[in-house]
Amino acid sequence: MSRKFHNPINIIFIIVFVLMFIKILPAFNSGETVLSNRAGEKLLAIAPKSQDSNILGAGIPNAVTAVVVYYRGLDTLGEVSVLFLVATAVGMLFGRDKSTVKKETNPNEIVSHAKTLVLPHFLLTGLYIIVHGHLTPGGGFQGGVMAAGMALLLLLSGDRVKQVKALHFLEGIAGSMYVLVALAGLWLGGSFLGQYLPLGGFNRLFSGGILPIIYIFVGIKVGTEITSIYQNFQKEEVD
Amino acid sequence: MTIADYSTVMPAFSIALLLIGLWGAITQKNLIKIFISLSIAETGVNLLFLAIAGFSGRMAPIIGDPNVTTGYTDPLPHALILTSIVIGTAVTALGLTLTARYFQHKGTLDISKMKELKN
Amino acid sequence: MISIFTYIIMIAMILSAFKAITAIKLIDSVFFFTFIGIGATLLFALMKAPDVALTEAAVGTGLVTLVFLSTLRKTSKEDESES
Repeated sequence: MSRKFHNPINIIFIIVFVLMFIKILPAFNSGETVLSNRAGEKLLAIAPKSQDSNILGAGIPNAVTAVVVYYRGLDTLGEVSVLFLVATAVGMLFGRDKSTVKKETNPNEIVSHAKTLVLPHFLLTGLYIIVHGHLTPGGGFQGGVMAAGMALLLLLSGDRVKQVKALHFLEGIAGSMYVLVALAGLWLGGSFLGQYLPLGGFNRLFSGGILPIIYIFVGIKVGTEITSIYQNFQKEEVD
Repeated sequence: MTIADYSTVMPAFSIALLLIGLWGAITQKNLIKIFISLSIAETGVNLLFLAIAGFSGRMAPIIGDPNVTTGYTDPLPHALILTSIVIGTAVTALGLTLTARYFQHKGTLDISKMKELKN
Repeated sequence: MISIFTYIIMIAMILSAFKAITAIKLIDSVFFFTFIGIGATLLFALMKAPDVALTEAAVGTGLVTLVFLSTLRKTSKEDESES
């Protein structure tokens, strides 16, 4: 097989793909017209209302958070399990290597001096995005990855972040509390992930029942897991 | 305006990215380039969800008044895109750790030299 | 104005997808792939999906770029001692 662009394998692929392209495309033409009787429109209608006799409302203005945590909460539980599995597997695969404390030969001057000014902003903005996930765009995943940027900045400036045992403990606690809060809904709320805390007023910080609590646990878990992934990738190999 | 309309350009662009990523995953020899091509294909699939959500002339789904809930985009595909992005990058990270460990044992990244499963 | 900007981003993303796959050095591929991530963030923000744009910005540029660059560092044959 030659290395030029127009060898026979590429020509066959281009012809087959262009044919697939022409066949798949007309299926999406009517995506905009049948918008009024979808499940998403009904979810938008009941998301900001409180729970009445026959309305299963969530009471928060951010509709995407209501869908992710409350109406499709089992998918989020599965996603958090996949992240936990990947972080554990990366830790196991790199477990034999040492995280040496040898400094880099040329740490960047600007990063070394500026990291003390920038690090608190990472943590504060990340926590703000996690806690206000039900009022403004954001939530657990976004804020968690941003708060884990602290470890990235420390690694870029040449310091080796030691494996802190408290991070593993915090990750386990956050994951278990998520499942326990959802399980308590079986007794107190009527179903798994049922509401049993009072829904406050609309657009207030303490509103939405168990939704902000679950998202805070998800945010802590995601932040600690991604920090451990960053640390594991910086380990040096030992034979 | 059926050619330069958003409802046909957006799916066409996403399917083009998906097919480019698939072509790269089949014809490349370096293992890291295969992972990059698969990640490009996943980005194309995430963009394809937007074509279903309906975005022209509507607002972002943050509700201001609890009694007026029309004119927003569909929040259900947004939730599916969130899950897809996170799981895609997690699986890519796991694949790359396996690649790094394989390189430490064998010293090569060329897939035509990985013959351990052949008899 | 917004529609012209969207088309420019789309064309740039397709070109950089081609260059990411056919580049000779591996580090060029990683940079073109990061540009695809940034272009996807802009597209999500212009199509009025703010939650998704935040997630793609945090994950698609921070996490994936670092993982690829660390793997490149571990799988280079020469013994390099600089960062």
